[in-house]
Amino acid sequence: MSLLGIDLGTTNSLAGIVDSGFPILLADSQGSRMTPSAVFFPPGGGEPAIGHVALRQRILHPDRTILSVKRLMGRRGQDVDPARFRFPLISAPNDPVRIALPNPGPPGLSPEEVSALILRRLKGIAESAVGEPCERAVITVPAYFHDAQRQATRRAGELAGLQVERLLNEPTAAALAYGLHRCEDHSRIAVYDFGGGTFDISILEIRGGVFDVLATQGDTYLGGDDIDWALSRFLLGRFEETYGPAKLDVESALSEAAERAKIALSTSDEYLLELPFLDGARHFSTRLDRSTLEDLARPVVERTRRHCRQALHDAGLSASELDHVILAGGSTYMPLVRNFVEEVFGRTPHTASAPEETVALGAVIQAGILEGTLPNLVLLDVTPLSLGIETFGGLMNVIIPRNTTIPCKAGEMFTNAISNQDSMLLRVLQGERELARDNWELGKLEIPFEPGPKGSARVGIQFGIDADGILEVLARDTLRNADTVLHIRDTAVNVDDERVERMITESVEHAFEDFSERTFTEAKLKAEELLPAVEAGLRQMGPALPAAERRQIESCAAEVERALRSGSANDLKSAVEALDQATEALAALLVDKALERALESP
Amino acid sequence: MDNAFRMLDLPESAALDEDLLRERFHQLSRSAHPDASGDAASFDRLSAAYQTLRSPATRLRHLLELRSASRPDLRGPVPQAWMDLFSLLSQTLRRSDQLVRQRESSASQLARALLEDQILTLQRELLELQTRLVQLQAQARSRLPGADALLAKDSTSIPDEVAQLCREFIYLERWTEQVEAHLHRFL
Repeated sequence: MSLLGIDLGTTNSLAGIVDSGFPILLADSQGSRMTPSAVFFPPGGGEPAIGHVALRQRILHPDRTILSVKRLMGRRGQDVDPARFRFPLISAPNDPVRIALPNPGPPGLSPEEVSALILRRLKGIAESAVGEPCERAVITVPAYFHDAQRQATRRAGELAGLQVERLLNEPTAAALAYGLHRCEDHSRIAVYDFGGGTFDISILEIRGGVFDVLATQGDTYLGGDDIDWALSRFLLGRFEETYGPAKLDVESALSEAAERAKIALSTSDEYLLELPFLDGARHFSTRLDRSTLEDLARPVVERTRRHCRQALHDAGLSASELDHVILAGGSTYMPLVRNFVEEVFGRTPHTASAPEETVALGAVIQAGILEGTLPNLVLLDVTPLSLGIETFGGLMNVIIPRNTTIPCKAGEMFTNAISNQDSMLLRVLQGERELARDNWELGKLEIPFEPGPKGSARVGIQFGIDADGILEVLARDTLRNADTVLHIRDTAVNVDDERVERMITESVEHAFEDFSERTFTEAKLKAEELLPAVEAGLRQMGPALPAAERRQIESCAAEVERALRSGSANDLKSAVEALDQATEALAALLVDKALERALESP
Repeated sequence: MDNAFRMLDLPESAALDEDLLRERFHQLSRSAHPDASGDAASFDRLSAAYQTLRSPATRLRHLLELRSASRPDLRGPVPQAWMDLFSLLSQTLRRSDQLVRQRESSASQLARALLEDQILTLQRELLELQTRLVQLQAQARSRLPGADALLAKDSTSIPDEVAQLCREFIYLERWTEQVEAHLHRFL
């Protein structure tokens, strides 16, 4: 029974198998290998249409034709702008987004259910092509997909009747497709994967059949869709100049036309866009040249630059140390994108294979590796975001740094910060910031342990990231030998991508602030310990302390209180140090006193 | 605790050849990866060992850990020259933050253009800092064979010089990362 390799794309999806040692992509009965990721729910009810047939309904029935559903996978209401979708969404800020269809129709569909229909269609195409049931698959996901998005993709596979053997990162898949016949050489490559809805950049080293991902960066809300959107807004502007406000069906015709114009302008310099009988009566015709499109697309493409730089930096390489740059994803057909890549990496990108098929081919190759039909290849992929937990003082304690090879396990031992605590609350975080609150909470876990004095509990926290990039957390109370397992899939918290994006940016941009906040937090903890101690010490020693020294201590303590209020890390740190010094003699006196008392008592 | 060097079949050395390390990891992964003939648990250990040996800071710490029963205490005095470097670094990064915020909040092309002088100056300062940190890293790296010699002399104690070198690498790696992150914003 064949293991399928599937590229479940934002705009198009493909499936393939390894046939007598060769990865091949499978075509439907019309001879097409690419299935548009579109699902149409007919107004009269009945079976949904999928693929090309569904896509043809987008102008007539924009509110019943589901497109770009990948952009909704694993997302909550607050992560999504409903105006960007032509079908209605059910979205509450903290709940997973659902799709609402006008009646008659199912009451509310999850993105997974819609994706499952696309996967089921691909499964059907494969089964007719191979002539046997296909029940297992490798499915690709953007490298920058977080836990919830990966979980949702896996669920979609299961709903489609597929056992998901592996979730494979898309740029890694592209690297496999490129490197299959070149993997004995030693080379370093970058994969620039710019698809319909997502962008990833990965840097790999290939040697002796091993594909080692050195670094990965990306944005799961950046793709060709955003260029189409910009162009369709522009076209809408031109339309409204002539005709006044447009209705939904005009908008949807314009967005379809925008996509066509964009594709045509990849090969020609000019395009005459003609929409006869738009909204029944009016003709809309306008001339577009490539430079107009490029002006609209440039800001979108420009957003990938930072990620490219960061990935190279994380990989510890300069662009000149790369041997090749590989393009993947349909958006890399645009000359603007190719020139951009050439400028960023200082070399002409590799364009020999079809960029919209390369990810699917890679998925098929990974299927071959898992089945053993393509032996001698090993993939060492990485986790895109750092994982850690919140520790005392609100700091993020990184347990697995980003770009760590997966599968992996890492752990650390923790103890109770307060006496007689009988449990601790573990917040699992994902992100690059030093302060816990600036990172993403993936879930919470309460770990019980025997109450005891401060520092007596021993809780080992182990994080595991499996080969699919999905997280598992295991906490072990070593004194009691009790395990608590946290499955992030059970928690309602999803990570939204824009915040992931913002987190990374902030981490880079406020690295120093983090450092000073850390200084502040540490100094604050010390101040909070010291101030009550000073009060207690002064009370105990009373008149035994020389007046000048008492005044000195009191003024230092006042300084600490002032610095605490001002929030300046450096001031607080030096004030705490001064107080620490000023109380040295007092501390010595207290010790002497204590020793005296000990001698006096029988 | 696993001996990371032994797991990768490499000599216990601070001055490890990092290219050889990666090559060895790739070689071993061919059979140790769970998708090949390996099992998940031993691959986890192999890959953790590889992570440990990749940077001089964690590698040195591991060498020290191997010779002490508990986690070695790496705290120690910070030389004045390092304090000075840190304070220069903090000031520069703070100004860089301010400048970026200023640039982001300026709505007009003109206002941004007026900042250009300052940005260029700051860029130069960041580059100078980066060069200095790179030099310091190179100097610290050149002391790695010396650390090996000290460790070879006595197989149980933790020589102060080695703990100091380990501390320096921890600072250097962090500071380099910060300076480079700031530079990325201006390039």
